Amino acid sequence: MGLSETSPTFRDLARIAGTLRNPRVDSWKSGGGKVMGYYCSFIPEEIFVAAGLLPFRIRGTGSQGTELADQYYTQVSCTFPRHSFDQALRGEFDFLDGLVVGTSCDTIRHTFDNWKHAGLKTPFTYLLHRPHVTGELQVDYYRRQLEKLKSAVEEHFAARITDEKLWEAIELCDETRRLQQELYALRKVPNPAITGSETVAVMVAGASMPKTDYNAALRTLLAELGTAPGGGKAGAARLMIAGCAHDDPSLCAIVEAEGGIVVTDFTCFGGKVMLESIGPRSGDPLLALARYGVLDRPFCPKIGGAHPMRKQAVLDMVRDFKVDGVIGQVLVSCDPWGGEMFLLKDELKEAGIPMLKFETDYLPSSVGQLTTRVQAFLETVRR
Amino acid sequence: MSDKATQMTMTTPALASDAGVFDQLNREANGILAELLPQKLLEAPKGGKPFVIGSDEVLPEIVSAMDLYYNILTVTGATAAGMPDGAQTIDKAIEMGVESRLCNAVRCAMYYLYSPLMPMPDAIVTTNSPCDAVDTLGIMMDNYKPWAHVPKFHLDAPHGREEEDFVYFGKQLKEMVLFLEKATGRKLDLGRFLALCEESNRQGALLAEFQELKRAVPCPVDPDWARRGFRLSRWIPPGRPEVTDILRRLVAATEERVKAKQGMDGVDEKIRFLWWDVSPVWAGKLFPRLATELGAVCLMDYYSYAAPWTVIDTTSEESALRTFGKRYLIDTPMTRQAMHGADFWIEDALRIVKEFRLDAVVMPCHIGHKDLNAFPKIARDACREAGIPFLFLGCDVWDERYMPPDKVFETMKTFFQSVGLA
Ligand code: SF4
Ligand code: SF4
Repeated sequence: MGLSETSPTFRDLARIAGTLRNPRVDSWKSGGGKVMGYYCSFIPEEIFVAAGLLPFRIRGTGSQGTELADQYYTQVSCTFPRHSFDQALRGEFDFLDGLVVGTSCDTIRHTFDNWKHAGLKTPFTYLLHRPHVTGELQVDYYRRQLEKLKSAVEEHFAARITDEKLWEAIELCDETRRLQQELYALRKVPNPAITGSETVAVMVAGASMPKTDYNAALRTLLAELGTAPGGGKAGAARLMIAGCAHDDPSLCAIVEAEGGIVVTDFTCFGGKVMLESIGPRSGDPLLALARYGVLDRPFCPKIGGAHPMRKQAVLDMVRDFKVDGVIGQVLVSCDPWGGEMFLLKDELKEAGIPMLKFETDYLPSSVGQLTTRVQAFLETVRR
Repeated sequence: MSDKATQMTMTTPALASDAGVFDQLNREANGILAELLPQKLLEAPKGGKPFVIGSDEVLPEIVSAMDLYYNILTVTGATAAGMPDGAQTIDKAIEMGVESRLCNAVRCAMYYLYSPLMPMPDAIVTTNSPCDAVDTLGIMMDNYKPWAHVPKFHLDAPHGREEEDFVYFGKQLKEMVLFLEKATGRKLDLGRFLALCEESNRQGALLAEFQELKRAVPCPVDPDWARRGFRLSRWIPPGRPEVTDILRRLVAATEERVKAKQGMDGVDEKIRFLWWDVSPVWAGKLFPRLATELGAVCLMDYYSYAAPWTVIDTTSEESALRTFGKRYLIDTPMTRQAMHGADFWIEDALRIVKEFRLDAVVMPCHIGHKDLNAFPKIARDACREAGIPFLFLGCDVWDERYMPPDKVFETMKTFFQSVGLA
């Protein structure tokens, strides 16, 4: 029996993750609240929370195709922004009151241009310049960029973001990360009470609803899971997923249907989000955010000089979660993750960990082929 | 990264005008540009100077002033893609994996790295510019196991183009100098550095003059000379007086032709177009044919637009590094076009069209350019609004097999005909 049957809290979170405009967004909006959409996991939600906004991570959930977006991109562009932008063109992100895009990969960066060009009903748009190197000069630069973002948000939304409010927001988001870390820790046992696909839903919900409600839901879920029996098969191969826009449970579901269990991940909607934390309070909160973004978690493969940190984070997860094999998912046309997986494959091999690396679209075109590759991989890693 | 080193170093370009002067200039330029041939690049570090390798072209004046040997790995890859055996190198690189639509210049660079053909460097400098592909190359180089012990420095080229961005980049260059001094044991000779910057300012000014001359209708000489000029002044260790001399004579000879209202020999110029991307390594199979058969002249591409250069402020080391930062972020071909917003790319395109009296914009949309491939509609709409015929191609500037030059020719011909230009 899965959590959908046993836990109303999980059902609620899964519902939120399974759609874009969810009931929590609706009630936030009907209470007069504003929603700030954003692309990429490094965007500091804390600034939006401090401004009294609801941060909403852009994704492509429910997209059926890229027909409309295809005028704006070519077939050479990654399908994650194409799907989500297609939805934007269909009005599915009309509930956003603002959009912040970070300078991550080239395709996401220009999605900002496309969003503006298309004349979408998003009153506030902002491009956040994020450094692509980890270092002290970069902290200083990024702090100034965050200051500019803060001022722009304050001005547009007539909000005053005090240091006190920022620290409160940091504490709230740190609490989210701490609870997510607890959730992940539950998966270190031989027979985890939550599956990989269920975890994807829980993580995605975290970037789609008010943080306070989410934290409360996570606490309830953790309490339920603490006493629940594991649903997985004992002795099943324990896998980890690495990659970018992994906001859909279907890959985990394939692995789990084939007899493996996904016990952790290093993805932009999952495990990468909750690694590290900012607190405790000390001094300038923007500087704390900048240090956190630049020095503590350069987990995006666009960050130069930081691959050893990313490799270490993956190897630590492999050790802590007793991972038997890693699935590296690269979206077609993604240079940053293509390079990262190229390096990781050899590094994991050296550590004795097999890796299945494959390229796919955001909505995999051939589930059958993917299933076959997963099956074959499970044969090689089966205990 | 633009390059067609093979054609430029081994043959006389088909459109070279004025046999006497221009042939002489060609010979001299080709002699210098031969230094960019992969084999020479690979052998040069044996010369005894400390060897610095970079993922992109960032610091030519600095490394020269420190008397270091410098290789830009992306340029090596691009040059390799343009060699007669380029397709085989690309295929071997594809076999290595990475990502199925990675820029083929970068793929070739990776092949050189992993084969392993590159000599061991004394220091590595990577940068995230101009694109995802070079960023990825830098990360590969940075984590290439046999080079694990080699000291490394990482530059962050910001996507902004405000004063604070130039200052930020300049500060990083200062840190990079300290790094290089430590890693190679060579000191930056400030006097030499400033002198090189001044020489490079002179070359930039001459290139800007040449651009002005290209505005003449008909275009007086093969417009591609601008790109060659860029390569001579930036990719070859800079500040060489013989390069300044070539550029000076180029400007003078071109001026003569403008005065005589002379166009390119053998070309009845009817159409002037902008190829707003990197000039392809197979340009020799396309541009001369377009010019001679249709009178369609490619006036400008990313690298032949390499002017006007920001003047390096040589009053102090700091001001030089800051303006150097600006020059890098704003003037360096490809970084200029790939690092900023679609608006900047379009502003350039529309301004060039106006200033150079062009008739059409061609957006080749090289498959490696994840940036351009993400905004074809914005480009098309902007051109449409300005009343400029616009053609989107979708080719690979490094691998002609993706869209053969004949097919590109036919597509362009049909386009020119259907918009009434041919
Ligand atoms: S998968 Fe790669 S190309 Fe696509 S959005 Fe993520 S980083 Fe960008
Ligand atoms: S993708 Fe473009 S900018 Fe990047 S290396 Fe290739 S040709 Fe140069």
